[in-house]
Amino acid sequence: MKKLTLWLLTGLVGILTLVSFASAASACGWLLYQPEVPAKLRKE
Amino acid sequence: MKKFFLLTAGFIGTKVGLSFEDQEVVAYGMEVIFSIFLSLMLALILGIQWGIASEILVVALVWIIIRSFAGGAHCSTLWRCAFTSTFIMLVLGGTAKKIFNFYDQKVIILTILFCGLVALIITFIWAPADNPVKRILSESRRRNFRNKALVVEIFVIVFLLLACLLMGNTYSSLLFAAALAMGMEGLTISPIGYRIMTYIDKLLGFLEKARWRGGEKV
Repeated sequence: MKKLTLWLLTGLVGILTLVSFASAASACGWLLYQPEVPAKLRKE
Repeated sequence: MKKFFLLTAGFIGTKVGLSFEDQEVVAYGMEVIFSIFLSLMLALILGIQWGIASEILVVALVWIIIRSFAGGAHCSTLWRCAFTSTFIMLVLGGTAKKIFNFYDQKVIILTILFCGLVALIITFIWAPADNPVKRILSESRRRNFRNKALVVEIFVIVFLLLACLLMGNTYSSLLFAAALAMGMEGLTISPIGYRIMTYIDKLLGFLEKARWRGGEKV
């Protein structure tokens, strides 16, 4: 059970990281809100 | 809300073994997904009730695709964004659904061409329209975004025109909704769009404050 939870959480982290990368690579937020981009993803 | 996402990312991070920086990235992903999910769900729930769900989906799709490259004006908080995005999607979807019955194929083609041309001109002059939270300072990056936005817009215009010519009036309301979304996205890139958005943002901020103080000002 603990292993399954870990797998699920790892998958979730992967998806969220992918979304973060895609959002940070775009010109701005996809709708009318732009959250503050984390320093690690900032590229000027 | 940001604190909540950071706390959740922190909880997941301790289980999976993420550094603080990685937790921030995960929290950012949560915030992005939540903001889109909230606006889309609100618009879709109301859209299903009013029979304009498919128009709303088309508006959201065209808007998000072009906005990824062209940028545009923003609201300052998640809730104001959700309210404004939902309102815009409902207005555009509703307009497309109600008005298309009165128009024939030629008018829809003209609308697509007009909205497309407006979006192309504005994109060429002002895109990418960045914001204080996410600046695009590199000239090469700006040029790259602008070119991509123009290519995407041309692709959308050609696609809509072909769809209109091949399918006649079958999906007119959807094509009309897509054209309106393109025009609206163009507007949010322009300085006028920024001014309107700032005004809406301030108005919503004023209403929020008045409400939270007990509602005595409303």
